[in-house]
Amino acid sequence: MGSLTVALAMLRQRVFAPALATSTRCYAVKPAAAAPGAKKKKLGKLGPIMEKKVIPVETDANKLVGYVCGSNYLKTGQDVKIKPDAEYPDWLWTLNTERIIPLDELDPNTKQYWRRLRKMALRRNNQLSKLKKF
Amino acid sequence: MSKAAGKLKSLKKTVERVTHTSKLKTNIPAGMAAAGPPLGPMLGQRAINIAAFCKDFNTKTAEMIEGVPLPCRISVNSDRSYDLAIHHPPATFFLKQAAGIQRGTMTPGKEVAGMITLKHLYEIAAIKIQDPPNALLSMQQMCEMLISIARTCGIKVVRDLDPATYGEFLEERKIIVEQQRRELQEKREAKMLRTG
Repeated sequence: MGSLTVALAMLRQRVFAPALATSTRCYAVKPAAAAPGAKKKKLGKLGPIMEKKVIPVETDANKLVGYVCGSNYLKTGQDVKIKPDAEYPDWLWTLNTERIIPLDELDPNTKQYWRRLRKMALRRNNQLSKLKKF
Repeated sequence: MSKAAGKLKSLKKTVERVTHTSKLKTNIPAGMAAAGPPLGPMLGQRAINIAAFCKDFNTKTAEMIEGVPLPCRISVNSDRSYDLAIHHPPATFFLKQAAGIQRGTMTPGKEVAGMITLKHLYEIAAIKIQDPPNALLSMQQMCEMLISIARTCGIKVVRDLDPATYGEFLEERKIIVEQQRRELQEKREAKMLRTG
């Protein structure tokens, strides 16, 4: 008789223990529940009212080439018209637009060389300090 | 001892929120200053009257097209008044509008998103040099700065531009941009499904 009750108790424990465990002991916050909550907080930065205004862009290629579209951001007025070549200074045509000249092609007698060198060194130091633990 | 403590207590009562001397540097859409999350806390922390500021800003930018981002530099004085300096829109805004693109490239240096001529660059430099920080630059320096900014947007600067070929280029770009947008949207949705 005593052994039967003990056996029943053990059986009850085995059947109900898991249910009991999950229903009463749930301290950990589920990561799945936290993530959308965090996302909502981050998205809430924009606010429900303030939407990003998409400003229309000119699509007609002729207008884009002939005028500086967007130069007039007031409600009234016209965009700046592109003038013929002669009205622009000569140094404009000599500007370097193709590629960034690497350091070994610059002349060490110019200020530009040393400024570039300093910038590269700073960037390198920053990247190295990123690799450090603390 | 107690007298000094009493004086300190009375001093503490009169001192209000400290007005920070750090300058506020943001882009505010023209005519759309609102007391919302991006702008509101920034102004509030510096103890600026938000409603008055928004009204003031919107009246100043009333003639401008809605939504154009305007860099603003706000410095707060000790008596709660503020100095507001509104600059011309950012260089990237001008460059993208002149090239006829909505978004810059996602991989600067590898992809070309738009093209612009040197003359466009000169005109944009003429506008941007009116801003206070750029006032001491020469036009050549300003143009060089704009070239490097264009490089980061993926805008190629050329000597001459033919409207017909550029039109075709823009059509091709439209397809590529649409594809990129779709991929980004899919990634976003996949992430939401994974964690949501």
